[in-house]
Amino acid sequence: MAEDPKAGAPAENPYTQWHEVVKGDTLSKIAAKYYGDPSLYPKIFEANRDRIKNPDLIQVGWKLRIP
Amino acid sequence: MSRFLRTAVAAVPFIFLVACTDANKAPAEAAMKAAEAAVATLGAEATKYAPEGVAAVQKTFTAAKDLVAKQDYKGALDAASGIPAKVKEVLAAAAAKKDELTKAWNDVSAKVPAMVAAIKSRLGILQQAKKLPAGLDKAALAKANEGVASLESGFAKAADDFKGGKIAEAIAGAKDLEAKGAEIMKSIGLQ
Repeated sequence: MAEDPKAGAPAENPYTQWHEVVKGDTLSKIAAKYYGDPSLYPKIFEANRDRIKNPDLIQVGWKLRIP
Repeated sequence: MSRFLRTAVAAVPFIFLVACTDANKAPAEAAMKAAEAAVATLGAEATKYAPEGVAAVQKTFTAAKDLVAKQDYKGALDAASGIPAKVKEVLAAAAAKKDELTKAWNDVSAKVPAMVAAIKSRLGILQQAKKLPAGLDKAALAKANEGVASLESGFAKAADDFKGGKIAEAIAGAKDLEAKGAEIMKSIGLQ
């Protein structure tokens, strides 16, 4: 039986904003879209450390938290 | 002898009436005692959550007492005997209403702090931005900051209302804050 990856994880804030990665997206572009400032991309990286191992590598279809 | 017989026969209905009245007196008194004990269990919570039911029971009980005072024991018995069951219904209705309101409070009271956390997190990041996203300026951020402070103080008051037993007021206050929070979220692009 597969282990639930969310088991033991803190409850997700229901008001978290999500962004679905599309072709051409980078964390900097996403930061610019939501924060106006691409240099704030580490905020998105930190909020999605469970999924993003390398901030330069994000995959189309991933749903990222936008804190 | 004949006169005595006539008097005796004439007295029979009266004696019968008195006998019947006395026959109802003890059961009526017992029913009143049971009714009084039942009415005494209607505490402040019942009055708060089922006010119409409590008023109806008290009205019936007062009417039964009036009937006893008028020595209408049959009427008093009829009125009082249904009171304990009615009290049980009122207590059950009050408990159900309290549960319903508590659940409503639990739902809404979980939302507002989560909203505040999401807004504060976004505002903290936006305050570090060298340039803000389109449609957002410093004035809008300042307004959102004031709004979130108002959400926090408003929620503290709603929580105090809940702790103080003002559940309906607490729910109304928290729902109002939820609506205000949604507006703030929209104003900073968090929706």
